[in-house]
Formats: sequence, C-alpha cells, structure tokens
Amino acid sequence: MTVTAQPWGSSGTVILTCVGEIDIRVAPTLRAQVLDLIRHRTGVIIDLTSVSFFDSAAVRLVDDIARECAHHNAAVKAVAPPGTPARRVLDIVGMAALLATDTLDAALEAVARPLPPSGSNTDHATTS
Amino acid sequence: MTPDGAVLDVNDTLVLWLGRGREFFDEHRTIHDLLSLGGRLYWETHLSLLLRLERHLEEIATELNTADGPLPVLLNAAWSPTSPETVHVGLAKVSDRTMYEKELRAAQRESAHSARQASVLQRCMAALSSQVTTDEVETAVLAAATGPLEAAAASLWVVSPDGALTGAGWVGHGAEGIPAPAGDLNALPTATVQAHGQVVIPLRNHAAVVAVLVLALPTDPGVEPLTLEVFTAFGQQAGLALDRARLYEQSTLVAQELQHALLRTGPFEDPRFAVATAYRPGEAGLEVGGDWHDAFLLDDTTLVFSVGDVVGRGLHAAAAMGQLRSAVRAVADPHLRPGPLLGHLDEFVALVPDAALATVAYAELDLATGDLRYACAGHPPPLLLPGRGAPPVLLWEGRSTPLGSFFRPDDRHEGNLRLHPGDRVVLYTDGLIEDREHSLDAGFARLAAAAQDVQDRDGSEVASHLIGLPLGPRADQDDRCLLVVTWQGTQFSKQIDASLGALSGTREELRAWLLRHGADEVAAADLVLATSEAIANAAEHGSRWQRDAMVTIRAHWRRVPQGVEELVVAVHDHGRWSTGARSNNRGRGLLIMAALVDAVSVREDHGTTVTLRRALNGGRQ
Repeated sequence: MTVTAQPWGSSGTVILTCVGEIDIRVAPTLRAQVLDLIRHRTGVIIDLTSVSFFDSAAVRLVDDIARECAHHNAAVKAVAPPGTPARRVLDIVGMAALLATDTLDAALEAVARPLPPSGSNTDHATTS
Repeated sequence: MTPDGAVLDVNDTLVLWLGRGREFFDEHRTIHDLLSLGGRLYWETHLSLLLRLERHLEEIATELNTADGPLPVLLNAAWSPTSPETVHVGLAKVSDRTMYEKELRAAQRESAHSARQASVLQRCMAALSSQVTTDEVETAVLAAATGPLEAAAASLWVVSPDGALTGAGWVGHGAEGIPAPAGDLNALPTATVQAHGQVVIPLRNHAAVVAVLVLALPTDPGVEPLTLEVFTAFGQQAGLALDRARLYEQSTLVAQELQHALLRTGPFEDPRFAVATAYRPGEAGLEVGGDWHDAFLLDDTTLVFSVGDVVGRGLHAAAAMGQLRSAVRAVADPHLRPGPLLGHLDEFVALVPDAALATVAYAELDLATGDLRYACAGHPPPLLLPGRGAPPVLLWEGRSTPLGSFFRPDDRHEGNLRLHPGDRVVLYTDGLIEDREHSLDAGFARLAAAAQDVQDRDGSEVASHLIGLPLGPRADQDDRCLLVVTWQGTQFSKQIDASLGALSGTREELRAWLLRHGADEVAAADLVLATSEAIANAAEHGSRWQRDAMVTIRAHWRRVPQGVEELVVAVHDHGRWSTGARSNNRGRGLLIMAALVDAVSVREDHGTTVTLRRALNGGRQ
C-alpha cells in the first residue's frame, strides 16, 4: 500500500494517489500520516483508481479525511471509476454520489482550478 | 436327448403317441418339436433351467403336440450316469400312471362319470403346470378348488418348517370360517372326509405333506360328487407343483441376494464427492444378471469407480461378475494407469472363462484437482454432465476392445479430463441405450437428452431419472446399471491469527480457490471482500476475549435443491458478537457483506460463525 501526495501547482490542492490494498490492517496505521499530508490544503483529491482492495476500514479512512477537510473548509473528492473495487464499496455504503468522480479531471474541476502543475514537490506515505 | 434338448433317440411308443410316423425323426428334432406351445414355453423358461440345476426332473405335467392334438403327459428326466451329454426322458400318459392312477382307473371302471373325473383332473393339472412361483401355484390351487373340483368354498394351509399350519388363502362364501385341519398330517395318506362334510386333501412332495387344502362341498351338488381318488390325485400334483415353485424361488432368491451383496457401493460421507447408483433388473425373468457398479477410495485423494457387464445371465454370470468386480479392486493401484490396469484384467479374464468378453468402464478421479483418467474396454462411453448449464458430453477417448478379446491391443488407451466442481460423470451399461428398433446413436442421443433434462439436479436425482429412461418396446429385457459420481471440489480451510498479518495472503488464496470452483471475477471479488469484512470483525472481538485468538475460514461448493449451485464461506472465531458493539464501523462492515452476497447468517455456538453464501447460477450478476 502506497500513498503519494502531489500538490496540484500552486492551487493549494493536493492529490493523494493510493496504490494497492487498503484494508483493516493498513488503514488505521495510515490515518495519522495521511491527515498530516492534507493539513493546510484548500482542496484534497483521493485517487483510488489503482486500489486493488477496499474494505470498510478504507471507507472509514476516507470518511475521516472528508471530515478533516470539512473542518478546514477544504473541498474533497475521491476518484473511483466505475468497476473499481473502491467504487463498488463507495456505492454500497452510499458515499459515491457525494464523494466519487469517474476521472481525475472531474475531481480537479470540482476541487481546484485546472492549473498545470509546477514543480515536483512530492511527499510519500507508505505502509505495507 | 442332449442337455440342450436335441433328440437323440425315441422309442416306438412315443412314435405311436405322436402319430407322425418314424419319418418325423429323420430330420433333426428337439424337445421343442415334441411339446405343445404351452409345454414349449414352460420348457424354455423353467424346465431346462431346473434340469441343469437339479440334474433331474420328476413328474412334470406337460403336453405332447401329437397329430391328434395335445396329449397330457407326465415327464421325468435324468442325466445319464454314463454319458455326460445324454439326458434320459421318460413320458407317461396321465391316464397310465402308478398307484393313484390305478385307483383312478378302478374308479373309472366303477363309475359312470369316470370320463368327467379324468377331465377334471386334466384341467387341474394343466392349470398347475403353467405356474412358476409359489404365489401363483397357491392361487391356481384355490381357483381349481372352486372351479373344476366344484367346492363351494376352500381354504389352503401351508406347513411351516416347524410343522405348524399357516393360512395361505381362501376362496368362496364362508371360507374364512373353515377351521385349520387338526391331527398328524403325515398320517393322512389320501383325501379324507372330516366332520361337517369337509374334505381334507394333503398336498405332498416326495417326502412329506407341504400344504393342506380343505374343501367345503356344496350341500346340493346337482351332479354326482367327485370321488376322493380325484382329490387325492389333485393333492399329489399340487404338492409337486408347490415344491417345484419353492425350489425355483430359492435358486433365484440366492442369485438375487448374491448380486445384491456383490453390488454394495458406499455409502460415502465425504464432502469432496458424492456417489449415486441405480440398478434395474430386466423384465426377461427372475434371473440374475451380470452387470456391476463399484466405487471406492484407492487412497486419500483418489476415487476409483467402475461399471461393467459380464456376458450372459444366471448364477454363472453373477459369480463371474463378482470375481471381476473384486479383481478391479485388487488390481487398482495409485501407480497404475487405467490402460495398463485393463491389461491386467485381460490376464485375469483368461483364467475365468465366464468373464470372457466382459466390458468395463473404469475411471480414477483425483479429488484434490478434479483430474479424471478413464478407459473403456468395449464399454459404452462415460457421459459427462457438466455443472452450471453446459450440455452433456459423451467421453469417446480411451477406447479398446472387450476384456479377453482375441483382438485386444498391446496397450489399452486412456482418456483424460479435468472436472470442475459440480461436474457429474455417469457410467452405465448398455441396457440404458440399446433397444432393438433404433440405432445405438439414437440410444446415446436419448440418454444425453434425458441427462440434460435433469442437469441441474444432484447425482441421486440424475441416477433415478436415467434408470427409468423409457426406451423402445422391446428394450427392457436387459438389466440396467448405472453410477453417477459428482465431484464437489476441494474444501478451502485456513486459520489466521487475530493480528491479521496473513489477511492479504489469505484473500489471495481464497480468490484463487473461488475462481477454481466456478466463481467469475466479480463473484470472487465480492466474496473475498465480504469474507475479509467477516474476518476483520472476528479478529476484533475474538482477540478481545482471548489472547492469541485464531480465526478459521472454510469454504465449500454445494448444490442446493432446485438446482442452484453456490459457494459457501464460513468464518469462525471464539468470541461473541452480540455485546459491546464498540466499533462504529461494525454496521458498515455488515452492510457491505449483505450487499455482496446472497445471504449472511451469524450463529453463536462455541464462538461465532458468520456464513456467507453466493449462488453461481441464477444468482446476482
């Protein structure tokens, strides 16, 4: 499981790209690091396109991120294209309609102004 | 004559009775040519067998086919003590015979109605001679009592081995009230009149009284009553007929019990497979056949099953069948493939002439992988009935000639196939496909179509449906024997500790198992996620109750009634769910589980078991 945080230009928006399995075992350990990564951001995009397994603990993590964003008046969206494991679960728990977009572009449209990225100021959070 | 019935020589008296001249025997004649139609049938179905079994026949009432019409005779036959291929046959006209006929002739001379008496006796004997079973003979005796013997009512009593009398039936008005005869029956040499005008007739075999017939004669007979001599003569014939029927039933019962004992297969209590068998004797007669089915575990992971057919019928065929079936068990070996195994059976058959040209279908199933190896020696091809809706397939690989055939190949072939869980393999004998009016291809097509009708049923339902498959009008003379093996796949079983270090790996193993057992990618992903949620819950509360708590995950394939196949996953821990629902995520986990499978159930019994079911066919998309 890897989470990569990449600022979207100077928009104040960060894209968290998640790869691998998010489950009961890794989600709680990721929580503190991920919440650190989104601090002081005006927009947060959680890209779940490459997540291969996504369970209720992952739902809870996403829920915590959204709550934290709301606390700081930051916008938040999750990229979960139809057919992916994350979308299947977000649909089941009723969060897809408010949170999920099918593409990264749609998420950017909703969260930040579509500015080109500048610089490569990338942070990583990894657990296994 | 020879034991086959070919006439070797006849004396002048028989030539005279037949009224066809000596020239009749210039051509090759058999005993069939001498007997009336009824006598011929009796000979074919019964007497020829009895002669071989007993080596002699005594006082059999039958009819000669003479130029003047049927001539009732009593037939005695015995194997020649000097020549094994010769049977001596003595015939006596019914009117010429021994002591009681002499008495009868005396009665005939004395009585004006002797002709009527002789006619009565002949009618009775003819009725008795065509009966085969004891039930039939007893019914015929009672029918004769109120028929030709002119009784108003009659009751029949059979002597048990311990000498007691048992009612075997009654006929006519007031017959229920006829008391059982008393006294020493064996001291009753002839028919006698007892109190109340009842006639007690002993039915004797050569040694003792086997039954007693009690007649209530009409108070006003209208015609002159029959003499006691007629009743005595009837009793002797009826006793012999009863004795003969018992002997016949005994020999067929022995053969049938032998076959039943030989055909014991299973039962098996094994989640990996199910075996169903069915056997239906042909309608050709009471004789036992040479078909067998068998299934047994060769080792922990190999199920062997076979169906075979020994040529012919009767005790010889049954005995050869039993030997060959046992030989398959003896020869089967984990290191021997089906082809060479049939080669060993060739060697065995060379030592057992009655088993020559037997056909056999032999198969080995690897219960861990579903790999099937099979070979057929002259036998109809196995039928594969796939699970989940695919059409039946005849397995035409692995064919070679019947066992012990002159044309047998040096290497017998085998066929290979990998079964999927829920697949069924049907082995059967040719009684299921052969009828005399259609081609074999039509028989195969009919079998496959019938199998398709029940392909969503379990093996035992498939077996009972196919065994009753209607064929052409003359097809049911052959025995039918079949065996259905269902491979139910392997069991998934895994334990992980509550720290869940092995959770991801366990998911991957379960996913691979589900894909092997009929799940598509979507169903597998859904079941894996639901299972993972159940494991997470189990680990959470299981570890709360017990340090080092373990979570057990099991999965199996099964077929439920109405033809639905499903995969079942059970997650077990030693804790309890019902109290302290601490996690606010619990509800979300349950919601996800319920959305992904067809049924979630939670059972608390020595811990908690969550069972998840998902249908494979006709279930959710």
